[in-house]
Amino acid sequence: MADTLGTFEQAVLLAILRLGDDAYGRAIMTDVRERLDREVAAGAVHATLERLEQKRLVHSKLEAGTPIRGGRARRYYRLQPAGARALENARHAVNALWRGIPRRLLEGMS
Amino acid sequence: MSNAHHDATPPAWAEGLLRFVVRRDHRDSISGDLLEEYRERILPSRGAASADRWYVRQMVGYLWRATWVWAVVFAAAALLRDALDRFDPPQSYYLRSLVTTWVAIALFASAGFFGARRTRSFVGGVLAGCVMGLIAAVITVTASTVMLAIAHDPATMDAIASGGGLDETFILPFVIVVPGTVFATIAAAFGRLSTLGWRLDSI
Repeated sequence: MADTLGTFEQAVLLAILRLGDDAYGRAIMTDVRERLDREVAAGAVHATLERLEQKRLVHSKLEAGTPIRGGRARRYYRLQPAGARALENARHAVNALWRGIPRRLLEGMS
Repeated sequence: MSNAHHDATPPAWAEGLLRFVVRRDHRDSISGDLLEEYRERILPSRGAASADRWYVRQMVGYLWRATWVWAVVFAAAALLRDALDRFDPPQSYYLRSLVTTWVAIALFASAGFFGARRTRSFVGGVLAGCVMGLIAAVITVTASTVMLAIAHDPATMDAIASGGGLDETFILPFVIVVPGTVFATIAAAFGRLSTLGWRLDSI
């Protein structure tokens, strides 16, 4: 079985999937922050991206920078087939956990 | 966004340190992401002083992620020695000192070697060793203070006095960072050389 993804890894992979061709470091950071609705450390996002690339779940390439970032290169990320499979497995795992739990059970407690 | 924000720069020392903490091939993209975030979101919404503090916090986060594991292992070893000396004082401290010294050398050297390998930077390795020692010193002194607050009966205080006194508990962890950084520096040179060797082999 493939590596199990943590919640933050899933958030980063889903951000890459959602952003498509615009998935570079800062854009991923922004997407993750908005989806999780909390501040995220840049180091946490970059460390996760580095780990996902080592696991070959994503692939990155450098492209030219813009004046706002002092001309420094942007690193763009793209989901690899193994990354897509890992996300699909994560979705199945969560769905399996929830299967058979009627909504009313939670509604009665909240 | 105003041109003032467009040209604003975070503290140069923090930017400089950041570049040595991250992987060499990621330096431009990571520092660029942070600069873009600093100029486009943080500075306009929080002002210059707060934005600078944000940038420094991000840089410290990278430094922490690169060194905390070594620091925790180092602090655990130092605290174990401290606790043994306090609660089970030996006749001679020679063997314990020998083991502690070599463990410290090994940890400083490992932090320097692997820090240089990870960042592909000699300075990155030296920095990893030095910061690891400082974080470990803070953890060790804090935990030693707590231990002292819990157990300070005459027998324990005698054991502390015969083992080097309170100076050894509170000052040595910081003093040791200086020679430790020397070992980290030597190991960082080997770490950096090992990455160059890998590149030459791969050509």
